[in-house]
Amino acid sequence: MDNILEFKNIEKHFNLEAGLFSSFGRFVYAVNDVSISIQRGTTYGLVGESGCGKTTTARMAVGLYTPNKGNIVYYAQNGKIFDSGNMNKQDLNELRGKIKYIFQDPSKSLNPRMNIFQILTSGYHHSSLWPGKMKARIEAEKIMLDVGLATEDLLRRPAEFSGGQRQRISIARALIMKPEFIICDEVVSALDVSIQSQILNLLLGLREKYKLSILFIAHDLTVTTFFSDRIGVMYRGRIVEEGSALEIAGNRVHPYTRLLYNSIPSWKDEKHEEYGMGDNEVSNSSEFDSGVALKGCPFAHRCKFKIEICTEQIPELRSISSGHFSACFRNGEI
Amino acid sequence: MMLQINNLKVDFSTPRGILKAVRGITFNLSEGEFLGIVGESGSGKSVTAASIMKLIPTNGLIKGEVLMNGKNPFTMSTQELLSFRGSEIAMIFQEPGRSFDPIYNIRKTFFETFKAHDPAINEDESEARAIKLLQEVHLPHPEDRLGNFPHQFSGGQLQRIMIALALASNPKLLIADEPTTALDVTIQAEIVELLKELKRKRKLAVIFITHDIELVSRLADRILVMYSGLVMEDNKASTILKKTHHPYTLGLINSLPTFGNHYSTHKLVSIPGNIPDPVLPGKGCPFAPRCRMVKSECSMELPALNREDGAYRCIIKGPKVNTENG
Amino acid sequence: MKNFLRALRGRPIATISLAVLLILYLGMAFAEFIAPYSPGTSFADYSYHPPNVRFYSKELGLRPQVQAHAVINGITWEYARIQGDHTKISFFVKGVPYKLFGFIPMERHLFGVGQNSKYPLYIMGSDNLGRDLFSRIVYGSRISLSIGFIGIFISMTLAILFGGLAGFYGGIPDWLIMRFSEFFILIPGLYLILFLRSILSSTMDSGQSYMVITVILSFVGWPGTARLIRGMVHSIKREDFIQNAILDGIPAVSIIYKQIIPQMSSIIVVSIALGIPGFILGETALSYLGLGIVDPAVSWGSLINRDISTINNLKNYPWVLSPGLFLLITTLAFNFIGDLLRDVFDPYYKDRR
Ligand SMILES: Nc1ncnc2c1ncn2[C@@H]1O[C@H](COP(=O)(O)OP(=O)(O)OP(=O)(O)O)[C@@H](O)[C@H]1O
Ligand SMILES: Nc1ncnc2c1ncn2[C@@H]1O[C@H](COP(=O)(O)OP(=O)(O)OP(=O)(O)O)[C@@H](O)[C@H]1O
Ligand code: SF4
Ligand SMILES: [Mg+2]
Ligand SMILES: [Mg+2]
Repeated sequence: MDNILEFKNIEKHFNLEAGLFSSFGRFVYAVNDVSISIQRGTTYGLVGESGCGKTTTARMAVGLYTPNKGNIVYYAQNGKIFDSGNMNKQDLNELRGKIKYIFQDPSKSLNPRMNIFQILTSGYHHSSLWPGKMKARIEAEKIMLDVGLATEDLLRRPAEFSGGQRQRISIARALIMKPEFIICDEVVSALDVSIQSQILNLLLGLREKYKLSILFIAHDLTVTTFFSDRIGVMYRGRIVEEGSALEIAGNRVHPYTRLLYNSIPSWKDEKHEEYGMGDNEVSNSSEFDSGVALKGCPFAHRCKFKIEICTEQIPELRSISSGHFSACFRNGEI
Repeated sequence: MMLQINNLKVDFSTPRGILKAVRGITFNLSEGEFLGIVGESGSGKSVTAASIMKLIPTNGLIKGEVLMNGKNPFTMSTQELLSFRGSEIAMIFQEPGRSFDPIYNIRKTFFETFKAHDPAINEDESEARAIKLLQEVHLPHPEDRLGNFPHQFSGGQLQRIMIALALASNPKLLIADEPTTALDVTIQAEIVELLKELKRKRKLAVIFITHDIELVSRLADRILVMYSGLVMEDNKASTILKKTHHPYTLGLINSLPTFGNHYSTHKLVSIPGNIPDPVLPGKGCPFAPRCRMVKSECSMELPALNREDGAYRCIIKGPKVNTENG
Repeated sequence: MKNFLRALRGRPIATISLAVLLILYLGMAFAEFIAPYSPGTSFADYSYHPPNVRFYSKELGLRPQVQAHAVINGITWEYARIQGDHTKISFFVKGVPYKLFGFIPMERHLFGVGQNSKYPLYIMGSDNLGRDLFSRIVYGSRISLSIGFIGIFISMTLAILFGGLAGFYGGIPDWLIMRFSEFFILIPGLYLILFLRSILSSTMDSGQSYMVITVILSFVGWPGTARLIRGMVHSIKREDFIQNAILDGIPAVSIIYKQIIPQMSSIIVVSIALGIPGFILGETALSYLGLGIVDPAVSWGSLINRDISTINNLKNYPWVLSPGLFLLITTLAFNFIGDLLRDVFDPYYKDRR
């Protein structure tokens, strides 16, 4: 398989205490032993509830955080291999030119004091690819048209645009340095439904045009299923189920995935269970506490199918069918 | 009719000029009815809800009429208004954490709330009533948790407590302004379930504000679709989706990917363009610049509310159907 | 700018402050033209002369004029009016020649009693050597009013430099810079000033002491602002658009000074306006203690130092307080304008669009 990005047994915990006492401090166990492989030219969707570690995982890919354990390997188009465990500053900069990160909130991710041309080119300017101002201008104009904005907009400032337009600018900013891989961290979550579909369609088109591989983070399952090729369901810093988007949509195995999918209100899908708790798989909601190191199944505290072993041992991902994995001791029984 | 709203208008004075947040809204609500209000961000949903309780900042000017069981909050004295809020209508908001005073525990929060409407209440009585309400909203072990402070609860639990507080003085109408947007899907489902149950058991009328037409169509008896400070469509939830009368509602429905659809097999239809500037909304139909069915008359004057088969604001008569496969 | 004018409209005090500062700074630029005498011109016969400008007399009617006084006690410097002896004050009169801005030769002054009058014009009275206090105040404003700007410029530069680095990098650089700045904060400012000043040679010409004073005051002034800036840089660094810049590989120095600091320009402008009075007062304090500007150079501080040395002086010659009045007005004006700017830049103000 031609992988572009691999997370290998990644762990990340954050220290809540700073300074002298940090080594005795409390930790937030944000990501616990996550392994993901993303194939070149595909979209990998990461779903899960707030605080489960999606953003942390993605940020490690661009070196905004360093994993405490494990390493992340990126296979560039030109054959070069970047390994997070063994990278100098120059490599990191080169890697960051190939992977671009698009943030959730377009009103915060654009410098309010720059005009759009400056926003698009400020990073480009410092890179080795800088073609000179004239050429950059032409490229910027082309990108603006690609994302559905006008070339005159280059001279305006972010405050003059609506949320959807700002997200287009964010996308343009990411694309101008011709990345191979983009990370979309909840890029449509802050947008209105009618704008959300504009942006999704735009991303689908650009993905085709620029031959992009994408890591797509969202908490909206319908959108993730629509947009991704493969999906990883994350809970409490672990991947609990992984498979192709359509496979998971049709045949969800892990109790958490079922809960998540049953929470989708969907009147269009006639086959879907009645809205709400459906077959009542979960006893009572209590949100997880990522301040304690994981012991047992991450979902055990909410799971109705829990058995003794669930609180003692951490279940590993096991294959259900080809390319479909679930981390539950009761795979196949429930 | 329990609640009647006639030609409600809200203007805000801003440095850029007069911002017309709500431009003339009329609707009724009967007892125990569940009304969903959906619409784009900035379409005036929150402002409409807040003006029913006359909760508008000082730069706002309300016109029109609100009648709740014959009482008009706009003509009330401050004293009357305070008892009106709470005993007739209660409201819950998007971020439950922000509505609590972090230095009060839950027992104290309830006590203060009860006292506002019944100054004679003592602490034991307050506690008993609080526990009863918390049981009603399915907070586990309420008697053990009364001493806890807001930060010791999760978002979903806080929203439950918020609902219990809103129910404290038996309102007839509960206005919920995006009560689930800040919560995770799984928690969201539970809160929605709770609201449905309360509506059934208490005969409580609910106004539920959201972006999510899919969610609300499963819950509500009736749906109001707002755009640019106007009601674009007002119809029964069961028909609005199958027999859509307004092109904007249709666009909204089409914009949502259907669960289980995949980009490889389905196309996502989107509404091009953006909402109009609320300071200069223009004179015609506010949706005209984005509408697929636009005619030249559309931008001449505001279409009147057409009251056949529910109500909708479009010059083209009859239900609209998809012209593209979406 | 539009916001600024709008805010100005509703605030008469700030508008007046702005006008007052404008007048003071114009006075500073055109000192030679406005002051009737040079700061050194001394009329030894008229020490501690009271102000002598009148606007009405029987002889000359309603117009600005000088009422002549005669010494009646040469030890306590008591004066008596000479009845009927008035001299016209005229505008654009010829006086001591000077070079405006240092290169335009001129000899006209804005007003005066003419060169051949032996009896001087004292708008605000005279000092112990019979020098015109008003002229000295006008000349003194050169040091007093400019020291604020130069001082705040130096201390703001230091604050931005250190605060920016500390806030952006965090960790060890942050620790070092913050401990260094705390060192300056912990020592009471006045002692530090006195200490620094006393280790420097006491025989300096006025240019040197001017420089030394500004540098000393800046050193005392920067740490507070640096801490403020560090805190803000630290939080702005977490904003998504700065994360974007970091991911784009833009060099840290460029991110700090081209992207982060400009976000705080409003805070910086406000702290400049509110910081200037501190420098003006600092110079006054030093000069008052005799450690700052000394004769023949004049500053408001040195004027106060000379004249308010005994209570008796104050009782008998109250006009010697007038430099203090200028000082008070200037500091108040800067404070009012600082408040105005703060309101203009208040983020909530903008959000209410
Ligand atoms: N810099 C940090 N310092 C300390 N804790 C952190 C930090 N960043 C994240 N965390 C914690 O790590 C956990 C995972 O956070 P993360 O942001 O990855 O979640 P997420 O899945 O992206 O959630 P959301 O959907 O809310 O964005 C959370 O408990 C969070 O509080
Ligand atoms: N206090 C205020 N001053 C000025 N304008 C206001 C004020 N409150 C609301 N507005 C404006 O009124 C319009 C309607 O706002 P409202 O909050 O009702 O929208 P909404 O439909 O609730 O949107 P959302 O889905 O984002 O909550 C918006 O354009 C908003 O900017
Ligand atoms: S491993 Fe056990 S606790 Fe975890 S999901 Fe499966 S059954 Fe539930
Ligand atoms: Mg996140
Ligand atoms: Mg709202």
